[in-house]
Amino acid sequence: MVINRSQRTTTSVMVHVMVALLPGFTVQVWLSGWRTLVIVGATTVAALLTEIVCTRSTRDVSDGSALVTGLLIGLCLPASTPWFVCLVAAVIAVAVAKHAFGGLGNNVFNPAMAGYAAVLLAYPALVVEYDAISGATALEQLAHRGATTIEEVASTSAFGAFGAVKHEWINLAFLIGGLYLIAFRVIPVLLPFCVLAGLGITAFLLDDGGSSTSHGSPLFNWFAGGTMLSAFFIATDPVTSPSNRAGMVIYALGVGALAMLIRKYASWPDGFAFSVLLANCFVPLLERFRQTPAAAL
Amino acid sequence: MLERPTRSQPEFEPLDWSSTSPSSILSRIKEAGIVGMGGAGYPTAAKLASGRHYGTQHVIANGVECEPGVHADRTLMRGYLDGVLEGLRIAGRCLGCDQLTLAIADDEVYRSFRALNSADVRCEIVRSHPANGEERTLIRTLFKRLIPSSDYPSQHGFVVLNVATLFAIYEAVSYGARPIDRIVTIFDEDRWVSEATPLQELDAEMFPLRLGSVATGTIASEDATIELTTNAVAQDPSKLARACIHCGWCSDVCPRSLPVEAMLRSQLNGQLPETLEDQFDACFECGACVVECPSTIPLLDWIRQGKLESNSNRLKRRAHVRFERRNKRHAQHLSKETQARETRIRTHHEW
Repeated sequence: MVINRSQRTTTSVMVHVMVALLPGFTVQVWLSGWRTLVIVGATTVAALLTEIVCTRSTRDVSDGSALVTGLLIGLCLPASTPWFVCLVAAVIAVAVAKHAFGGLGNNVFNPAMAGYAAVLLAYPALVVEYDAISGATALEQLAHRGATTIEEVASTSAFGAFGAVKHEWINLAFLIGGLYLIAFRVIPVLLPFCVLAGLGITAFLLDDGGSSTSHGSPLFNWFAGGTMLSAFFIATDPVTSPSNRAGMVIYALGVGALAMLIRKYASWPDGFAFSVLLANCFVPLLERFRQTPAAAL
Repeated sequence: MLERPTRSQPEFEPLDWSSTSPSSILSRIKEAGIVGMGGAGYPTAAKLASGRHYGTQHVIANGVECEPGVHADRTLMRGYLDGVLEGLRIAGRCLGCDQLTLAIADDEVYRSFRALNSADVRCEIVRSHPANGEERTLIRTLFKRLIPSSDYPSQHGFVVLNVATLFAIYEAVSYGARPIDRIVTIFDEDRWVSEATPLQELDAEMFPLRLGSVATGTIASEDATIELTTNAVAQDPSKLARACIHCGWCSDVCPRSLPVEAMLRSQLNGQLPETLEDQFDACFECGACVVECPSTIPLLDWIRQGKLESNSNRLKRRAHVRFERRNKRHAQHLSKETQARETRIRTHHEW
């Protein structure tokens, strides 16, 4: 029985998202090591099990939303994260951020980011990214670098060709996945690019040419941390973003700008988890922007 | 051509329409009891009479059948296009109008009609969108004219008739038969079905059913029958519905950009704000939102429910205003009476 001619069902949307995550996921596994697989596996299984427990009446996980939530948390967490932290993040995401608010479609906050932010606050030492080869990431170094100029920091091994080392390629792969989603009309074109614009404009305004307080060029910030993953996969969650155009632009610019401000002024190296959650608070307000049509005609 | 099992016997004298007066064509259409077979069931004779009264510039055969999974009109046109075009010419003669247009939707089934070359009928192809089958939208698309929802298109010189209706006109005038059967899309298969065929005769496993397409049909009761206005019978997809994920695609595809999501929420929460009442009225039930919804929510069911509710709310408010006025009037009247009585008593005492 064909009802949906465009074939965009909730399940197909989630399948598209999973396919689009593949390039980024592959690059991340390749560059950060096999432990990424363990982490993504742990968060995904935990999210699915939590979903089964929470949807007591139907036991229906076929919409795929829990799977995507688990995948996204796994991709946000660094490769050195202990397994129990992964479980806590996934359980909080699905049980608290989604089902306590009434299940799919009724959650106020992005489940993946709520779970990630919870472990970021609860286990700050365990989810900060250090690995054997590069030491701290570029965003880490910028956040805790003391009084050094941007050139001195940029000469360390944490910086790559145009972004943060390794992360530039991961970001590029997520960008490709995001363009795939746009091509298949799964996410709106406007939203991710407005996130990038918000981040870029704020980075440009804060960039004073490389003094000890500057925080890198827009290009560096686009290809560092979780920028592309957040812009294309997390901020575009239909449930927790406005559906009208004006609201969408304001929301997306806000997410990007807040993320950049957190990167520069807060003690966390990356700011997308908190910027997305903060912007989520304003979504009910921004939904009011849908203009009322002419009643005549 | 789809095999027609039974054809009704002619009851009237067949007419040669080109030599018959418009008024006798009209009375024949009235006699045969033809109604609009696109779904609304508006008496065709009344529509033509209105078109004659206001003067008609364009007669449009509406073959833009854009509800999902319905192809009854297509099948009719593929098999009986000559009859449909004759019906259009008869309607044109009845209305005294020679601007005849056949509108069809742009999809692969209609590619074969592109070559249609008839000296007197213009063939127009419109985009295949659920809303384009609605007559006001069709007029807007073809002639860039806006018909306000308070008026009939015939008041503005347009008469839009469904192709099945035109075929019925042709049969009534040139053959002399009443319309007693039509092509109906039943579970994706087209069949000639006699009027008043009970749904019980269909596959029992497919219940519950909808009269109309999966998107725009209404849920049928157990003892419902297929009428001349029924263009399709479909399975009810409501049980596939999932939760709304607020993607906003319903509003993106809505030809009137209505806040469908807010309208759905007002029905789910049971609180209908006054500002949404006009939005419910503005919906003309094209079903584009239902087609687009990734969660297959039966949005039109909720919207129809909201329409009823907003209507009753409006009546309630009007009644309340009347009630308040009556109370005020009553109070004034009472106070007048009291005053009169007091004056009477006073004067009595003085006396």
